[in-house]
Amino acid sequence: MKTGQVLNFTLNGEQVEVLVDPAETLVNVIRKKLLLTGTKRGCEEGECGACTVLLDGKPVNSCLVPAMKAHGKAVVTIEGISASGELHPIQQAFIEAGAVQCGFCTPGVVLSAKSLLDRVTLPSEEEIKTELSGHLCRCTGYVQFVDAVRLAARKLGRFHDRSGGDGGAGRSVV
Amino acid sequence: MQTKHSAVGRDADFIDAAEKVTGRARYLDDLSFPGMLHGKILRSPYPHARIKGIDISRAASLAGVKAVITSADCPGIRFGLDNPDVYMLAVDKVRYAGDEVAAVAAVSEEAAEEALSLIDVEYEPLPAVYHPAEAMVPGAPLVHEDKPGNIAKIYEIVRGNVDEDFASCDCVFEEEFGTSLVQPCYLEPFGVIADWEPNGRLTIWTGIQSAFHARAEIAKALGIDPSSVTVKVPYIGGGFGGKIWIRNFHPIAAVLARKTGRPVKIVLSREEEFIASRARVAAGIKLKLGMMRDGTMVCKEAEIIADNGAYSWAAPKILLNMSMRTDCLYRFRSSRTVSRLVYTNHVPTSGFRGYGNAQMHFALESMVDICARKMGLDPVEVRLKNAVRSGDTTLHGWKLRSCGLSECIDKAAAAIKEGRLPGEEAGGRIRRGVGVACMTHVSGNRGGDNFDGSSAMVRFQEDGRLLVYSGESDMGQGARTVFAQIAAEALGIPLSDVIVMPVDTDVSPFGYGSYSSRVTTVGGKAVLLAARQVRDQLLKLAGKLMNESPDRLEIRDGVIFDRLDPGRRMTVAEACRAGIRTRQAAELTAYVTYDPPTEGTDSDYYGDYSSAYNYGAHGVEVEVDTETGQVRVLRVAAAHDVGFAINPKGVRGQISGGVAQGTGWALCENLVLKEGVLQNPSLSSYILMTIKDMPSIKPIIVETDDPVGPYGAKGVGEPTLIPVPPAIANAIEDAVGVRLRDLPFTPEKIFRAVNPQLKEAGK
Amino acid sequence: MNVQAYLTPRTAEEALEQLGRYGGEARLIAGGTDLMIWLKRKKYTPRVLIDITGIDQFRRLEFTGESLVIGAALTHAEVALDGGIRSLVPVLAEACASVGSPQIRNIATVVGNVVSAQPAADAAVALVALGAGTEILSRDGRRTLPVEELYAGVGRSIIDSTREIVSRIVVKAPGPGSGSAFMRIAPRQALALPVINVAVVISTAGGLITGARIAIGPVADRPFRPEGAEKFLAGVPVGDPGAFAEAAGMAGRESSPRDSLLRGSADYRRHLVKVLVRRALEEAAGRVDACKEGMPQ
Repeated sequence: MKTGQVLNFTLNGEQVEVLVDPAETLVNVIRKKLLLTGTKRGCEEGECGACTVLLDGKPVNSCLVPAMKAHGKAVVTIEGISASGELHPIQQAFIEAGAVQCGFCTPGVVLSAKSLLDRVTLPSEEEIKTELSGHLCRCTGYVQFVDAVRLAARKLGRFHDRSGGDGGAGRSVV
Repeated sequence: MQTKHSAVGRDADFIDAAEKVTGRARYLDDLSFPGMLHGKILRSPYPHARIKGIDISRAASLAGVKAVITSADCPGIRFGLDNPDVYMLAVDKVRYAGDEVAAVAAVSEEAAEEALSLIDVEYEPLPAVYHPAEAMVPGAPLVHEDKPGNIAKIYEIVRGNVDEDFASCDCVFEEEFGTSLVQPCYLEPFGVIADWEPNGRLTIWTGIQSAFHARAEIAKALGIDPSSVTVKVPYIGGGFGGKIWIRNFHPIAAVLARKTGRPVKIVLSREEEFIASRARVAAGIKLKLGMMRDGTMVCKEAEIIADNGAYSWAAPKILLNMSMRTDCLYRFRSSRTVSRLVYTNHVPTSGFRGYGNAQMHFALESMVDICARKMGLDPVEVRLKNAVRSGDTTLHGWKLRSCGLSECIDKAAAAIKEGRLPGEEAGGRIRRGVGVACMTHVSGNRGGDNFDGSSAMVRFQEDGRLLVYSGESDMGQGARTVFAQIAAEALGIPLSDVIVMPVDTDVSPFGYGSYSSRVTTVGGKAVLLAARQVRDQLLKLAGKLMNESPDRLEIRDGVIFDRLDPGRRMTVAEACRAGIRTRQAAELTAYVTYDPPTEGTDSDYYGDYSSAYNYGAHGVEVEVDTETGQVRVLRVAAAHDVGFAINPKGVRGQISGGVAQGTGWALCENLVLKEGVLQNPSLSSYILMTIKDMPSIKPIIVETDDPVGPYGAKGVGEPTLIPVPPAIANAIEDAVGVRLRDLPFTPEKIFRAVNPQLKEAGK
Repeated sequence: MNVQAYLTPRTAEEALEQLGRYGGEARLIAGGTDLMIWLKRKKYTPRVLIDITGIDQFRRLEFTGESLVIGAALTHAEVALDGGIRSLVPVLAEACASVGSPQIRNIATVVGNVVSAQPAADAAVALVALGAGTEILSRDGRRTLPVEELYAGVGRSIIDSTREIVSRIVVKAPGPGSGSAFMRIAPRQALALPVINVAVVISTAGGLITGARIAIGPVADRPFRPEGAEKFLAGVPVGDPGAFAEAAGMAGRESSPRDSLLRGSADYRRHLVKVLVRRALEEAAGRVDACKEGMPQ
């Protein structure tokens, strides 16, 4: 008989408690138990990046992460970055740059882009490519990803200027 | 153009991008229903074996398992397209490693998976055939007992007097080329949910490119009427031709659902996507080209032997395209093609972006460079000299109502010459070169008398917003957005007031689906015609409401006004409100079925069968490390005649995506089979390009204003992949002086070609 | 899956106690990027998983005297991005940055890369070239073994993760006058296992190479050291192209890559070994010069 184990973690800013199988993957808990289907299953072997979520701010393949690893930590899924209902500037940038076609890889890519832009305010082309190199996209040929991240960086810059010092504004390590 | 149009011809953000970027777009695997079960399929590990017995008893008694089925539980119907040759679950024998043998429905994916391991199948391995040439040899094992010689299809297509023409040529060249097995590899694994409604009808949810074909094929496989089936299409996570046709899992899910009385979901694993999906038809191509000393191409002869795999699906249609289309790229006087499609114990092959056309382009566009170089001519000049032009009727009877081939060649060749890196570096270890290749393709495809059109329904709502229904799927290419732009343009309403509905065969008007690069051209035209009809209805209504002759009324930005007295106006929303839910009883709905003005082909495949023909040319620059054989594609200049770019942003996206897939095909994608068993069934071993591997891409949009397509538009989806492999091959020859004739161009192949003296490289 | 508990010990002692309690039915998990796939494929069927990444002492990255200590919980990303490692042990930083993807590197541990025992594992190849050692804890006590002695075959480590823990890797930092480099050839620029990878560490004095260690993967059942080539390099002038080519040729001949349908023929891959060893030696030698001029990379 399967034994459930209690997983406590912060999901998209909210404290969540859920009973999971001890070796269940994070993606399955998020999708099947918590019913957030924005995180996609593309290969279930860590090879495509579609299931990417942020674990304590860092992108990971949620298909390879046992859900229990999130215990006491913070997970952000695509649903968590536009919780207010308004598009995040990165999401807006992906739309405007034409970086979204079929959309299946998109949630993961957006989260990797967010992780990068949280650390680096104006990333170089090389930094963008390295950060997004764990995402396979079959539609776009990727070139619009680079445009989208650059556009997002500009949008975030303006956003921070307007808001007069958002928490993320001054955290460049460039 | 910008002044003429308000909604088309402008960069439009995809109208469904917000759902996708927020994770709210629902793909098949995101759907679930009360009581839903999970299905899994047991597949043959053998490429060819007799099934001596199947014991399902252990699996059936596992907790959570609700049904285990074999062929005995399924209708004994063989289904398929030209060659109906497949049962949904294998009867008596399996024909490839991946063939469906049994299926399970259980309360969880894990239980279903475990049940598969408890099904005991006794196989007797049979001699198998892995090479089309060997499969045709008399006495070779037969994949299907009723297909002598393992022949799935033969074409012999002759135009003009080839023998006479070859005799009159200054130069005749012969070469052989080979293309590889590759998978479409869309990111969203293909899947289905099947549910039988209380009224006896079957509902199928599946992210498929051709919902109406799916309905017909599923009905055929189950032995029921098409109208007993509904196909509903959620968001599709990419298709590229791999999701045009149903797979065995569609009717299998239906049988499991009937047996259990519950909805059943089957989603392929990534491994199944590799071992049991539909690869691009691989072909060996012998090509003979007759030319005059001045570079005139006179005649062409081809012999094709193509790998059908174990079941036929669309491969015969693909072979036909492979056999013909490139003859319409240049002004050939004559051609003869003999092509054979041969059953083997390999994964079945079918359509993938280019649909057969890409394979022959690789051969011909490589050949043009080979011949031009041998004759001391500039390959670009040779192409320009022979390029078909607007107004031509091609060798196979295509009427070119618009053709920008020459302009595409000029622009791509010029762009790739600009800003070149040095031809040599690091003491000659790094060599660079450029190459050009052209393409032609279709925007629709009428076989014989068949319908090749599309239907659209548009309906105003009482708040002035417009619903657009089409039978054509959006698999991510942006069809919804193009339809919305066309409707908005035709009606003079804002793009944001147009809602494009999902495809549902019970509701959507009849359409063939998203393939043949036809959606914008024929689907868009149907939307345009329906929108125009509704516009007439709306103006008639407004005329009545405003007490004005409808011919004096115009619509702009959602406002209806008197052209001669613009102060007299009402909004579209006001008109709709006053027309719907009132005694006006205004219809404000149009349903148009459109079929383009093409004749189709005769019994010899001659004729004008596509609404429009697409042309393009790519220039590429490559860099070869002669010490390792590694190639990097540095730049691609991709020029495409799209007639008119309804959404230039979407066109650019098609170009970059097609270049990525074409480059991957040329350099690294390859299904490696060893005695019929796939050696690389994962995304770590089947190599797709990553963001770090991409060249820089310069998209060049050429507009030729096609007289038939909506606003002059033609298709662009498939064309963007087609010229990439030959352009890369040509660039590699330019860089290092060796000619690669077999895809993919692996580093080892290049290394050995560049260093032929190093037979034993490592010694 | 029949895993019945997921444990998160806070100390090494607690982890060992838990391993002991389940008598071989518990298995350690660090990043889990390999293990989760193996569990799915039923390569292992443990009843209990013990996650050691929450153990504070395993989270340490320290430079102690002449040594660099990498705790068992440190990820490839943490090692690849560490400024000290990048300047003092670039071969290790480069190798760690080559593994998989950012998502993998953010969770997969360097120790895990060693214990998974894949001959192509980038970080492990670099560690073998560096002559790194490991500390192994079990209920019987503590022992140390060089990384290269942990291999029992392809994908098989002598470490039994149901009984013992590799708690740390210790790298003796190459001193002044040394240089190192990592290179790989892979079918694409990211998300790819190497066709061949090579790590080189050289020590020099007075313009001569005093010692060289070379590790190559995947050309044997473990990261392979061409000892003939290493010996040949001792006493060779730094940056002697002829000598480097000669050593590279020796390394190629000493390697035994297999014919692989996916990675290429043995001949070709042996040729790549030669190319990469030579290039890595040249790169490492160049870095020696850079150090001399006081401009560490």
